[in-house]
Amino acid sequence: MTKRTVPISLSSELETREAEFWKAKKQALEQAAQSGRQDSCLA
Amino acid sequence: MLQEQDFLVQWHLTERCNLSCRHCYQKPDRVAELAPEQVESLLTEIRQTLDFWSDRYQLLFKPALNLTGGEPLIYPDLWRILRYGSQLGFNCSVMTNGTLISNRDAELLKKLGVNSVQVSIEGTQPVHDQIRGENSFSRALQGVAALVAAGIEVTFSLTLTALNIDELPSVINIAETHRVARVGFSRLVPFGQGKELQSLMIPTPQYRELLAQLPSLRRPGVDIVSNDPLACLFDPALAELLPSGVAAFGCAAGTHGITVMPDGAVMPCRRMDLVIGNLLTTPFRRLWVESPVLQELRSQAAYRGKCQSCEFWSACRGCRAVARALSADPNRGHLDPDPNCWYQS
Repeated sequence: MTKRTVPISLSSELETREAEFWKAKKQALEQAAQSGRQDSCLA
Repeated sequence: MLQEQDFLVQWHLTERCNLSCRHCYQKPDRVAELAPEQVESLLTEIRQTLDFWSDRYQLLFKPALNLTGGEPLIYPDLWRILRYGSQLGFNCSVMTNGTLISNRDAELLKKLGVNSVQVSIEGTQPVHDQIRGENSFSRALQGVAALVAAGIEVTFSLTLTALNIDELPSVINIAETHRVARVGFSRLVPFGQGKELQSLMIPTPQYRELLAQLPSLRRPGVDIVSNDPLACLFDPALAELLPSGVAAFGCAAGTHGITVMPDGAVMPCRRMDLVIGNLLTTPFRRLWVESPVLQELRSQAAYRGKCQSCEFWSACRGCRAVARALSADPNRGHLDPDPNCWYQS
């Protein structure tokens, strides 16, 4: 099996979508952590 | 500052199984299996992508690799994949029916860095054997004894239906006797073989009562856990705490986890009968950001019914698999409200 270059590059639209998702998630997790909370119902 | 983020990869190495459980969501069709070097290559790609995201978004991913099946002990290269996953920094665990685990297997699992194993136990011996087959209970407990003796933390897991909901206290007793660290459960998702048991799903009021009782069921040395997103409804502070519209806590489907099937196909969750691509043909990073289904699972506006305006959405989102299995809409049923959710905002 040929190994791919990782990670592959994305179009600017997908790059933006990816960044929006992880940045919003990080902000939410930081907000929760400041209140001493972490995810308690991980599926 | 780096923010910790779990990322769960549940990998079904094989569909083959030595049991034929009544509630199983697998279909009888045989699925092709990847060679171990293919699995290793794809795991490397996932790990490298997580590292890339860590650098770019200042998230410290804690990757977990959960190897299962079918019955993962049947996959001949299970040991090789565990070794490789551990070397890549995945926290490796195994989900098994327990019946094939010898003392030697348990010692090898421990040696390969596996610290926890989930074993399916559906109730006391008569009920368990009724669901999973003759003699499966005693064989599973032999496997559990081997795992505990090897120093591996064992979790019992039940799939709750009307057949076994009353068995939960007995299973907790069995866990205590066998030095099992944890008892967990999940709801039946009626698809695959399990569709025949749909009439045995637990009614919402009874399920709500069970989740409410969880803290009181704990014993010294035995934790009782639920991975059900609906459990967060007993924690109203969460609705205030998390920003609205951001899938922060709760179900990992589409937000901090993926399921990979034996042939490389990807699903948001194994219990959701919905393939979104294949890692052999689409790079993980592209699949994660491009999949319309994953995008929908991350967007509260895409949800239907009461979920669309629920203040618990960021912490919950319900069980998308149950919603899809019971929906009349085969295309977008995964966006329906969780039929067992009792909350009205």
